[in-house]
Amino acid sequence: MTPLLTVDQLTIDFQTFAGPVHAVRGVSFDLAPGETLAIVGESGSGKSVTVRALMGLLAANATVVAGQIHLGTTDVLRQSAQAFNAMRGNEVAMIFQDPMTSLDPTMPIGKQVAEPLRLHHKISRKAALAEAVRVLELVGIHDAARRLKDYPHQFSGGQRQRIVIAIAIINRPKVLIADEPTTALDVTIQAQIIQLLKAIQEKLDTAIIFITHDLGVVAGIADRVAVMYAGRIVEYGTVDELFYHPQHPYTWGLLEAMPTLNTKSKRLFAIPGTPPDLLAPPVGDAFAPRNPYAMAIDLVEAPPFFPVSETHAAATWLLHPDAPAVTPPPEIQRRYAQWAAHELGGDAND
Amino acid sequence: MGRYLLKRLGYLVLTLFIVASLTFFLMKGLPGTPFNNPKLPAEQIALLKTQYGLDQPVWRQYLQYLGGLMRGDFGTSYQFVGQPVSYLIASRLGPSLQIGLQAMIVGTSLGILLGAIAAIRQNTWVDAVATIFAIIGRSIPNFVFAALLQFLLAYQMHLFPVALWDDGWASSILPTLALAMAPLANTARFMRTEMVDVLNTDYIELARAKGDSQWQAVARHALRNSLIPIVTIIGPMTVDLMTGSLVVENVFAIPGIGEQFVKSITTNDYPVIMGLTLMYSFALTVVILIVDILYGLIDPRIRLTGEVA
Repeated sequence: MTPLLTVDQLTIDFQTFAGPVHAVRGVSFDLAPGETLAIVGESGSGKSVTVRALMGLLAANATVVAGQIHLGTTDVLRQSAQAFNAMRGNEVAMIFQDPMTSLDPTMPIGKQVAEPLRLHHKISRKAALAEAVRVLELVGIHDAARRLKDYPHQFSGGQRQRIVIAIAIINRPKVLIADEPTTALDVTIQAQIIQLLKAIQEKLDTAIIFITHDLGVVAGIADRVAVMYAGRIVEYGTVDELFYHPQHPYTWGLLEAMPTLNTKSKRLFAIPGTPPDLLAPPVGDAFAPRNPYAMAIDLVEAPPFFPVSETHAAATWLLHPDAPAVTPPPEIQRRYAQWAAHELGGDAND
Repeated sequence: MGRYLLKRLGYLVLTLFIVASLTFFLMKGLPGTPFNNPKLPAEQIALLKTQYGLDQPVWRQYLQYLGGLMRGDFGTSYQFVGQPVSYLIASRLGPSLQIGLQAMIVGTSLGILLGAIAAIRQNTWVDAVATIFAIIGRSIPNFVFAALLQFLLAYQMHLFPVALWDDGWASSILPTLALAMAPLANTARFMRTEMVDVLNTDYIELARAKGDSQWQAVARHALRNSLIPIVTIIGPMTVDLMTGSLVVENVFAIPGIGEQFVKSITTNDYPVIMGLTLMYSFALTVVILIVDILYGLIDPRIRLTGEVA
């Protein structure tokens, strides 16, 4: 299938007083119509910056140094400001992290939900509000017609995130970017929002880029996963491949750090060390200083992607034919065993 | 809302009572008498004092004054013999009110514009110019502006009358500008700070994500939210305007209330001092009430209930 969206070697710098911070260092991925791609990584790994480039919402001190983004036939990064405005909220829409602060506190929600419709289409105020009611009902705001004149503070956090989702989907975007949309919510509400996003995707056939640092959330929603570290994608694959057949030591660390029902030790695992300073990214593999499996070459040259399957690749020298065989941590071995047990048709959910 | 207004009205009356009492006793503590013309013989001064009840003990004078107030009687001026204070105020209120309102409108609207532009063009030369302008407006007293405007626009360029109140609206322009500088600078400073904060909020980013252009996001979402704190400073700014107009009216020789207030104090014209103080207090408390109501209109999160003090 031809991809809906292609990101190619995207490189973004932030100008700071200390010099340029290399926040995104050659990120490439693509997105098929209707699929969900999760981008996973810790704070500062460049995942939010990547999608903000796609939205044209980079901070003033950020510049795209290299790379391209194509949405269909549109060269996203080389379009005019007007074309960007016409694309935002129409073909590409975004859901933000904190629903408590993402709505305008002084505007009734009906007007806020109808705004993208009024911006991108010639439509009367009345018709736009009628459509807002329909979409609000779709995202689970009950009795929406009576609540159009209510203000954000009259809704709970979960409801507000539903309203933010309504704003994002009212123009039926081809790509929906969800930037940690459940991070600020209670766990029970998180599950509801994930369910809602899945239902919307089925109904509207929207492709979703789901940004999170929570691997538990990923398993519930994504088709494919890309793991980012220090401004680069280090491993990508289907959800099953990433969860049960991971290859990159950083992915191992993330999975080890995720407590499951089987976790018995009193202390939770944490990856030792801290992410590198992106003012001066290390030569070679940025993860090497924290990587117990690091080899001499990791400190010299950054690893290229080694394909594992048609859909799965990881950027680690461990996959090089000449690399010595290593024994992954016990938790990963347990996952490998599960992978081997039902290699085909395996269920991603533990 | 009705209950709220009633409660606020009660506070208003209480405030005015306290202001009246404080002013009355402070005024009586001032040195001198209304009749300190050295040419007046002592017997005549004593006679005048009896006539105006100034020979009575202060507490009795106080009670008499309060009694008059209850009946809506502000007394008569000493200086302009026989003129009721209420008439004096009414005849002088027009020019002051006009200049004050004009200065308020010009000052706040230009200030909001200047502050907003500075915030949107944050850390550029536009921002720097606006900031310098605001600092100048804030730190130079309005009578200096008044003199400058008179010199440049009236004396040198002959655009407006230098002073006096005899050329219709043209007479009000220079005093308005001189008086507007302080509220303009204040509003611009507050607006910039507030707008910078608002422009960094998530809901502005969401507005941009909807497809709003930068200016659309400002006009639809940022402006209203930035205005909330501006409403707060309208109260103190009104005070600034009232005191500012005392001086500016003198500089431009405008027959306004401020000029009269200054004169009444220097001549110990007790009833006029009292009347004007009460008038200023009344105006200020009403402005504060209006500000509180405006708050609720601009910010839906603020509900006016009987519980709000």
